Amino acid sequence: MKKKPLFFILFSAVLFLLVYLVQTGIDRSYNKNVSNKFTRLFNHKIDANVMIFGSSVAYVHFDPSIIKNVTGLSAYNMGWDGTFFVQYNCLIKEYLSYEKQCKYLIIAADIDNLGKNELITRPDLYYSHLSNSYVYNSLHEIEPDKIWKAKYIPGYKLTLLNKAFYNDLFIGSRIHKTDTSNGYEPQNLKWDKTGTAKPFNARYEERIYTQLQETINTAVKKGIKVIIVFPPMYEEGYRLVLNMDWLKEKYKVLTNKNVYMIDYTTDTMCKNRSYFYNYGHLNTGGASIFSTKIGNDINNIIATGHN
Amino acid sequence: MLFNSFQFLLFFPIVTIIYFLLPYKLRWVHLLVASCIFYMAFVPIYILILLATIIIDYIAGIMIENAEGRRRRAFLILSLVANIGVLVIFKYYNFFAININTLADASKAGFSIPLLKILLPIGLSFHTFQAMSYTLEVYRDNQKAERHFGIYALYVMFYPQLVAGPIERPQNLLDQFHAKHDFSYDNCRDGIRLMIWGFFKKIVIADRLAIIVNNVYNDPRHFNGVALTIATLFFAFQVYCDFSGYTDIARGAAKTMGYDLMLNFNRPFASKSVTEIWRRWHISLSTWFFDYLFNPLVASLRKWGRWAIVFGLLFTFFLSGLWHGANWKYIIWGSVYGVALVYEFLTKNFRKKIFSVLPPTVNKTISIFLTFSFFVLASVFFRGKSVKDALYIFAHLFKGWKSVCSVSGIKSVITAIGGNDTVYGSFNVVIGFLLIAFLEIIQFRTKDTSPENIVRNSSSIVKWSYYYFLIIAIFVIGAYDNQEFIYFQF
Repeated sequence: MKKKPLFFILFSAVLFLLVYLVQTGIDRSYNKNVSNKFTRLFNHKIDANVMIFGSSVAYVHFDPSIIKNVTGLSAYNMGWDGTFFVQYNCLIKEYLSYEKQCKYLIIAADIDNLGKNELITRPDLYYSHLSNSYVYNSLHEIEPDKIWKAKYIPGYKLTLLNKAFYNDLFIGSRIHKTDTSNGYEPQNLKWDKTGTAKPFNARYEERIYTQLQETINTAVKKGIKVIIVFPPMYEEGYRLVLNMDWLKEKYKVLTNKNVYMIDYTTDTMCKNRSYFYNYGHLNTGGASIFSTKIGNDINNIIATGHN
Repeated sequence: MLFNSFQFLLFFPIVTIIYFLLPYKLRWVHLLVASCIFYMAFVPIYILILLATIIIDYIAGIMIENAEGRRRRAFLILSLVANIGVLVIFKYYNFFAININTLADASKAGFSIPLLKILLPIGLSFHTFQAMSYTLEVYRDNQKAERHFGIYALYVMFYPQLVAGPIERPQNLLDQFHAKHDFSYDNCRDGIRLMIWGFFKKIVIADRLAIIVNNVYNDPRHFNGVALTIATLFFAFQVYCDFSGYTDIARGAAKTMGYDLMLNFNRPFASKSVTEIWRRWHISLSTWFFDYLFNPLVASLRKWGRWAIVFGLLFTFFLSGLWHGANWKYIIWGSVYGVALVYEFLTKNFRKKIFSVLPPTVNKTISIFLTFSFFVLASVFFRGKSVKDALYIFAHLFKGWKSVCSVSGIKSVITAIGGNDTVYGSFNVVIGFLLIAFLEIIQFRTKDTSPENIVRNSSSIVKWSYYYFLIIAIFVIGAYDNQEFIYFQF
C-alpha cells in the first residue's frame, strides 16, 4: 500500500521532468532553428549604425538599403506589425545591452505608440525568451496573468503555442524574408481604404511615456542619438486624430541635443494618396521616397546637429 | 468554471484534498460550497434560480411523500411546473415569442410579444432534468424524500456534473452523499486516469477538430463539397469527444472522491442502428426521456397499438431536439432521429430478413457504416448556424469533388479550410485524421471496458509511457483558444 503513493510521486516527478524537457527542447529549437529577426536580435546577431524600432509604421516605411545609400550608414529595421512601444521596448533594451555599432536609434511613433494593446502581438516570437527580464517585463505590462503563468508554471507555455508557432515549426518562419532586406517589409499595394472613419483620440498611458523616457536616457548614456519620427500619414487620416498636437508636444518635451524629433505628418507627400495604401501606411513607392527623406534628414543631423 | 481552464486545475486538487482532510460530517458543506463557487464562476446571480428550484423541489419531495391521492399528484405538478417554468422563461420564451411575432407579422395581426433580454443560465436543462427526476422518483415511490436540505442541494449542484451531466437519478447519487468515502488510492488513480482521457478527448481531439469545423461552418458558402464533408465528419468526432470528454472529466473528478456517476457514452459510433445510438449516446438523457416521457406516454396510449410507439418516438425526439436548444435546427435534428427510429421500428422484421442473407461480419460492417453516416449527416442540422445553412450544406455536400483529382485542387481545399493558410490547414487536417484514427483504435481495442484502461494490464513502462504521451499531447497538440464545451449552452 505504501508503494502506491510513492509511484504517484515518482510518476509526477518524471512527468514534471518530461514537460520541462519538451519545453526546453521547443525553446531551443525555436531559438536556434527559426531565424527570424527577433531570434537573431536575442542572439545578438543584429547590429547597425541606424537601428529602427516601431510598429508597422517602421516595418513597412523604412528601407534600410536606401538609408544606407543616402547616409553611408548601415541600417536595420526591427519594426513589426501591431507592436507598440510597451512591447518593443524589450527589443530596444536588449539591443542596447550588446550593441557595438549603433549611432542613431529611430523610434517610429505610431499614433497609438504610447498606448497599450489588449493582447500581445505575435507572442510566440517572445515565448522562448521569457527568462530575459526585458522581455518578461514588457510582455507582463500587456498580459500580466498569462505571462506570469508562462514563465513560472511548468508546461503552461506549451499550451500557448499557436498557429504561427506551428507554421514556423513546419515551414520555418514566414518572416524569414524580412532578413533578406534587413527587416524591411515593403507593401506593394494600392489605396484600399473605403468608407469613412470616425475621429478618435490616440491612446496614451503616462507609465508607458515614462518607460520611453527611461529607454531614451539609456540610449543617450551610451552615446547614441535618438530620433523620434512621426512617419507620414495621409492628410485625411491625420485629421481624424483629435489629440495629435497634444501627442506631438509630449514627444517634443523629450527632445534635446541628443534626442531629435522629425515630423513627416505635415510633409507634402501626405497630400498625395498614391503614396499610401491606407491612412497610416505608405506603399512601396511612398516608402522609397520617405526613406530617402529620412536619410537626408539623418545627414542633416550628422552635419549640423539639427534636423 | 470550465474544466479546461487554469482555475479548474487549481480548484480540483484543492477541493479534493480538503474533502479528505475534513471530518465526514462537514464534507457535504465543503462540496456544496465548492459547487456554488464552481457555478458562480459563470454568472453568479443565476445561483438564485438554482436555489429557488432546489427549495421548491426539496419541499415538494417531502410533501409528495407525505400526501396521498390528488394532493400527491398536485405537489408533483407544482414541482414540474416550477422546473419547466424556469426552462420556458430562460430558454424557450424568446424562441416562441419570435415565432409568434413572425406569424403575427405575416398575417398582419397587428401585435407583437416583447422579448426578454436575459442570458441562458449555464447547464439549465441538465440540472432541471436532474431535479425533476428526483420528484418523479419520489412520486413513483422509487425514492424516499430527502430530509437533509444540504444533501438535496448537493444532489442538484454536485459540481462535476452540475452544468453538463450526466443527468443523475436520485437512486444512484443521493445515497452516495450519505455514505462515508474514505480516501482510496485506487479511486484516485482511476479518477485521474479517466480525467486525463477526458482532457485528451476534449482539448486535443475536439478542440483541434473545432478549428477546421468552425472555420467551415461559420461561413459554409465559401467552401466546396470536399471541405464541407471533412468539416461535417470532423464535427461528428468533435461533438463526441467534446461531450464524452466532459463526462469523463466529471466522472473522474467524482471518482477521486469516491462517487460513481453513471456512464453517459458507450462507443456510440459502434452502433449498428439508430436505435442503438441512443442506447450508447448521452445515455443519461435518453434514459430520462424513455423513463419519464416515452414509456408513460406509450402506456397511456396503448389502445393505439404500434402507433402509440410511433407517436411516442416522434414526440419524444421532437422534445429531445427542443431540449438541446430553442431553435428550429435542433427541433429538426431531433425529429429526424424520431423519423429514423420510427422507420427502424416499422421495418425491423423486413430488414432482418433482408440482411440475414449476408455474412454476419458484412452485415455488421454495413450496419455500422450506415448508422454512422446517418449520425454524421444529421449532425449538419446540429452544427449548422441555422436551418438555411444546414440545407445549403446538404445541397453542396457532393459538389466540387473533382478538385481532389489534382494536387492543386487538394491544396486549394486545404488552404481554404485552414483559413487561407496551407500549412496550418494541412497540419490540422492531417492531425485531425490521425487523432480520429487513434481514438477509434483505442476504443476498438478496449471494446466495452473504459478506454482509459487500455494499458491497465500492461507493464509499468507501457502504462507510464501511455499516460505521458496523453499528457504531453494535451500540452503540445491541445488547442487552447478558450473552447467552451458544446453542451454547456444547453
